[in-house]
Amino acid sequence: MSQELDLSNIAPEMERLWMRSIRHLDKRQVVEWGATIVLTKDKRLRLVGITEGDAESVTPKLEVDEGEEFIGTFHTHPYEDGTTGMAFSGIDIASAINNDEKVSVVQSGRDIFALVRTEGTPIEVDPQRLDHGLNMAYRGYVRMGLADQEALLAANLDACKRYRLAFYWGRVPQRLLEVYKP
Amino acid sequence: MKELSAKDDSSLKKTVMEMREWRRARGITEPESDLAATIAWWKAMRASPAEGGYRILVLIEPAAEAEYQASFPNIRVRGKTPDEAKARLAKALRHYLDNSMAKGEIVDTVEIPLYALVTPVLAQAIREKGEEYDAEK
Repeated sequence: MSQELDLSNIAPEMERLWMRSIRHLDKRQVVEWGATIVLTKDKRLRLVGITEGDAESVTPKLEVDEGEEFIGTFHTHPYEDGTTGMAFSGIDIASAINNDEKVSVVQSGRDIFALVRTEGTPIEVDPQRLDHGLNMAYRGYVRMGLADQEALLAANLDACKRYRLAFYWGRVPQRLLEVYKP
Repeated sequence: MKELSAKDDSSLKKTVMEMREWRRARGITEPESDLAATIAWWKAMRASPAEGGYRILVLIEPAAEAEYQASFPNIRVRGKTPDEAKARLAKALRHYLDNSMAKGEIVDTVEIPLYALVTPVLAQAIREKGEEYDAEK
């Protein structure tokens, strides 16, 4: 597994979707946008099936066209108060595992986070249990004095350790660096 | 009903709002976010001693009434840069250990990863103080 994750082929489209997510931020209105990450015949990553969600969720499509390989999903994490740097929710992680995503990517402002499935990642998890565990860990880290983004990142890393997922983080326009590998 | 593939962040957002209220109720200002520092802290916190990282030496010495005392060496040095202070500390520590060993005062030492002792609150305080932080004050 590489120590860097190169999303340069899809980064401009990811940025466009992020900007769409916050275009009405001045009215304190945000929308999550999502898409499917596929590998094309010429071995390039592409975002397809771009989908608009609501302020708290989005449902990227899991089906891909013939000749394209399903890699995973991308979605945005905007907050009405402008908070950025927020990584995955528990349900995000559970759906990435249960939907057999090789890579799952979230953009929240300049920060981009990615989960990468490994050989040790389970095939299926209980989404509610994972979500509850992540939220509990988040609460614990906030009580320890961490900022919202820091607490969520630490809770994400705990989940990655438990479910044997690799975790990458980067800032636009840099490449994502490996943070944790089981 | 949301689909199985939904990236549903509603319970996380609810939890974030609850914890912001928790801070407000206690008059706690949300600290500045530093993801790189959090990653370093998390790695060190989760790392086993075999995985390396910064370590701090603990001395275990005979104490009164057949007990043992565990302590950190009481050595303070200063340097013009963090690296110089670190180099001087290592030199002073080696000198202290050599002398203590020669006198038969030290019976054992253990190493503890330094970050295992640093809480996020303390880490934040150190970050806020930056290079002006002086452990002696």
